[in-house]
Amino acid sequence: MDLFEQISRFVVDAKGAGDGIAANSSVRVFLPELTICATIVLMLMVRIVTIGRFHKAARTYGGSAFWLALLGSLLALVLSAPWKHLSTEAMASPDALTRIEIFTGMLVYDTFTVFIRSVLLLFVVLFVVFTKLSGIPDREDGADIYTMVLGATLGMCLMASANHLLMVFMAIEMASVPSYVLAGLLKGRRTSSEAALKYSVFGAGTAGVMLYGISLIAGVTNTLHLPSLAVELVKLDLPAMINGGEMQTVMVLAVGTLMLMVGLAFKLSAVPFHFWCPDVFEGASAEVNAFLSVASKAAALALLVRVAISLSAIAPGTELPAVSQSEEVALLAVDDVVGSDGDTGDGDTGDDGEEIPAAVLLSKSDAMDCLAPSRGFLSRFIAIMAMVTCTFGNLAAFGQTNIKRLLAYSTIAHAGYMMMALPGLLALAGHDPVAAERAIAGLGVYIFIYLFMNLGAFAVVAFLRNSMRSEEICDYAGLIRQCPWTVIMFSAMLFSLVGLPPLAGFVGKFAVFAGVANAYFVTGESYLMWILIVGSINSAISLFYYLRVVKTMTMDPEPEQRTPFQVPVASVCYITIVSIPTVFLILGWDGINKMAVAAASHLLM
Amino acid sequence: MFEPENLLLATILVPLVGACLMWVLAPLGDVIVRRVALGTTLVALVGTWALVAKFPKNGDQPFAVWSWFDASRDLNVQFSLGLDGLSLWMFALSAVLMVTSIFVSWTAIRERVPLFYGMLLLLEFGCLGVFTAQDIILFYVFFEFTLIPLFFLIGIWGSEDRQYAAMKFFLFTLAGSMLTFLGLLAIVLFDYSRTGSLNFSIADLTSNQSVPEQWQVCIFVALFAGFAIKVPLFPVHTWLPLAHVQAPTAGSVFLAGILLKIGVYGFLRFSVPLLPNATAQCMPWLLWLSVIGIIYGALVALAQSDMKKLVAYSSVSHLGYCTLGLFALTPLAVQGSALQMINHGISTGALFALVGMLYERYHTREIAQYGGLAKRLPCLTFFMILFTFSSIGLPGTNGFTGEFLILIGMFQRGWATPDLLIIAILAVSGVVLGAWYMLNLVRRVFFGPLREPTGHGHDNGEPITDLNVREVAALLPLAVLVFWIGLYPKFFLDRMAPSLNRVTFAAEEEVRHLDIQNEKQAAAPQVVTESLARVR
Repeated sequence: MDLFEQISRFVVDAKGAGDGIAANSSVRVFLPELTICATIVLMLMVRIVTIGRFHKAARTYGGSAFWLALLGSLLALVLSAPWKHLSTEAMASPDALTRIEIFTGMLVYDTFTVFIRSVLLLFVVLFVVFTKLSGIPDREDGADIYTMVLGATLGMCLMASANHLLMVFMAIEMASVPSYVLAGLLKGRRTSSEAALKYSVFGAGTAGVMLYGISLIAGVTNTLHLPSLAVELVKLDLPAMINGGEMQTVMVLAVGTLMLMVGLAFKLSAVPFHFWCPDVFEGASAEVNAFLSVASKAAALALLVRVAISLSAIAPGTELPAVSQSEEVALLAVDDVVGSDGDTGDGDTGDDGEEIPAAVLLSKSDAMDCLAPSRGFLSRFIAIMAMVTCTFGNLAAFGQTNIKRLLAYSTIAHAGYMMMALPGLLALAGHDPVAAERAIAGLGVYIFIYLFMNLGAFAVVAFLRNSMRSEEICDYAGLIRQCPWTVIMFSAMLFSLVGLPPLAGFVGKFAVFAGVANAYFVTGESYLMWILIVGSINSAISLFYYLRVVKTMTMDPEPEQRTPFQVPVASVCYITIVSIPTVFLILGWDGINKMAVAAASHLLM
Repeated sequence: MFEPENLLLATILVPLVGACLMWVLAPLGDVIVRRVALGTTLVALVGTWALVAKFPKNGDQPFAVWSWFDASRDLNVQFSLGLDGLSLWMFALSAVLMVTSIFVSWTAIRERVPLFYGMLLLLEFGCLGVFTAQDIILFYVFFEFTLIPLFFLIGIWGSEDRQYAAMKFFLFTLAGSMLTFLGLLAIVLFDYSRTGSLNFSIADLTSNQSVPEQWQVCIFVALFAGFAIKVPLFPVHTWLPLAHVQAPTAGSVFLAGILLKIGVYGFLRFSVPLLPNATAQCMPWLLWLSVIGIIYGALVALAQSDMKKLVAYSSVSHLGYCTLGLFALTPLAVQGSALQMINHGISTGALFALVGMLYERYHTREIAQYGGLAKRLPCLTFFMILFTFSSIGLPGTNGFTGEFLILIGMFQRGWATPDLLIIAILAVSGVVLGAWYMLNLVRRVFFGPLREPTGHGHDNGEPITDLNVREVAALLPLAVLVFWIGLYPKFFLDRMAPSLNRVTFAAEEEVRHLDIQNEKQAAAPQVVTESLARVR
């Protein structure tokens, strides 16, 4: 294949077969990301060029970068259009979005992509407003911050739609590098620089390990394309290998998977790769914490779902290898499949069956059975990691005196809760794909709720920091007399983080635990039971440290030397708006639940 | 407009609206806030008793069912409320005790008044919701929701050690209820795996009975964790005396009167009907725990020097009777237990209110500092003696009917299963101990030479006065109920009995099966020897 042919293939792939931007164009579904890119470029340009009156007007209303970032992310959200792709009517219609691979299989565009991308973009819109209110863009480096934030968001969107291990690595790096810079945002402060340094050293280390893991997996399976990975694993026939005692390949695969997980665990701040998290959160500003704790986690979870499925289940629309009695035919058939791997999609499978009667395609359920060992391994591994992460996060949060550190450990614990959905998915994947997708829908609901809870909590921390110049819990004593409404909202947020009904956190935990419990009843695996027990005990013990903050704010006497202050009305309004979903979601979580179910509906079937 | 369904929903929402009003009216001053709070509770009271009046006699299906909308159609969690014989009286009592609670905090609460009444009304909203929820998730939502207002009530307006008490109360109850949640989830999922549709309606789950026998004990233990802490049963009762002693009077009244009953109600609503097999298997253990609670609570109450602590431990003892009657699983005992739930709410609620009134006058709860108050405060003494009699179960008062039914039912059970007879006998001794510590309290505080506590900040020239109209109004409805239930319990039992029988029927059958099996096992060797003898 010469260079020109290659280029023309890319062009066709990008703009679609047909005139203009055709329906099957990769670019068309990639528009939200492109919008973000354009926004970043525009923001950089605006700093150089002064556009007369517009510039002046923009400056008086809080900097052109803010407006550009807000408009860009809003436009991207509109282009992402979750209401168009995830509504019940859209799912029922014949030309509904299912699953297409774009950019020659590097990325995948399905309902899950739409869901996670929309959550991320919604978060960015809210986040941009939040930074404006907390006063970050008033400084001269406001534009830099938004560039970094949007750059990281771009990486996170790619994480949510990665379909190739190289893309996985690229996306993680793309999301991480701007985050390192964001962590060092407070330039004059030593703790901030320390946070940035720690974060980047840790990130670099884990990235290296992950890359090594990817190379090991590639060495064994000869592919980096995620759906093909599962097919290659089926061909390797893991059960036969394990029964036959050929452990070398299996061990290499296992080590490769573990190393790959290291990279993901770093982004998730899962134990034992969480050490950066409290230090970075303490050093960085509360705004950056909100960004790292919500967006970064949501993207990492989406990526974890993608990678876990690719290593242990057959993606929908993937061609399966052929099986036969005689080895020669089998080899032929395998060659065939490998040869036709490039063009994905419509496989007319019935034709070659007449010529070689012995070569029938492996049925999907048999293929899934072949992957049972890798599912079991991944599922148990993630289960253990989730339980340890959750327990450690909650226990370590007990002794914290700084609210940002406390919330850092709280996000570690929440990463654990959210990871608990994965074993449910993996255990169910082989038995009941519909139920498995429901387990992922539970995770989707949790991510959506978590967005509002954590953004709200960090917003309160940032606004209080602006008003009273402190982030120590003990300085919050008796705050309810000073700013009752803010404290009430903050308390609602903290109770919701515990998962106490009737607040939204309960809905999220309910959705995730219901998936795991269902997996337990279907499969009877006892480790799933342990997840449930550990999860609920953790909810109970986590109450203590959240409650301590509430107690300090509402019950402790006010310090006498406190100068009276007021939280600005705009900030209070913002907190109120963000907390509305947290408080009232229980009244109608049908909508988000349906969207999440729609989002998960093309992951396995 | 006044269809029972609409009335039910309106009654439940009244306290919520009232709580919002507290916040809106806060700038107008404490007097108006108090009056509006009182007005709200009175409206809710009228609503609940109108529902009681409309409740069909001998009706055993949920009456006045309100299904508004499907909170989530896909998961089928429904916002459905309803009343039946199990919940009717606790529902009505919640409204009565809330009026008492508001009256007793009239002058006692001086700080952050709007917030206080807002929390009280939220608490009432939660309790009314718990008793009417017909959906398992809705029940759990209300169940947990009640914790939040009470946490603030204890933590902000309590006595010296309030923060520790509030934390301990919250942690204990939440830790248990997490396991309860898992148990409830498991029940729903077993139902799902059998019927193929996710169903959260309590009535449907009860009629489906889809929990396999080998799993029942496991789930029973999970449910038990939450409900037993709430009741509280003997080994997990330690949060209760602390919470009671530290809580403001209104908090104690409502905690003792209503919140503890949610545990018993949970057993009655979920554990017994949904897991009949496990209930039958665990019955001896539960009866032993209950009777230990009765005796232990009574003995500890005897040793108390603090009045409020004494009443708190008497609660542990009295709730032992409730669970004893419930798990004796004979129709009489179960009815007695349901009646005792109301009785304890009335008598202990009133006793806490009275202790609070005494504390407001003298600022101490030490029994040793008082003596001969009958001469000084005759009206208070009258009510104290009245509710003491109700608490120890003097014939003619409500306590007698409840305890009598429970003990009769327990002896019936003991008759059927002789191993359990000893429990019935021990339970009777609890009655004697109960009379001892309560009468002892009355004797030491109200009779003998007059001795008034000094030096607690009360003697700023104001003379100590007897109960005023407001305080009498707080106690009078409870006094009426004491005699109403004591003299004509049929009115109450008629409306409960059909629902109670329906709920406990399956478990009673299981117990009978178990007894027959045990007899067969015991009889088996005998049969063999007999047949051997015949062969010879």
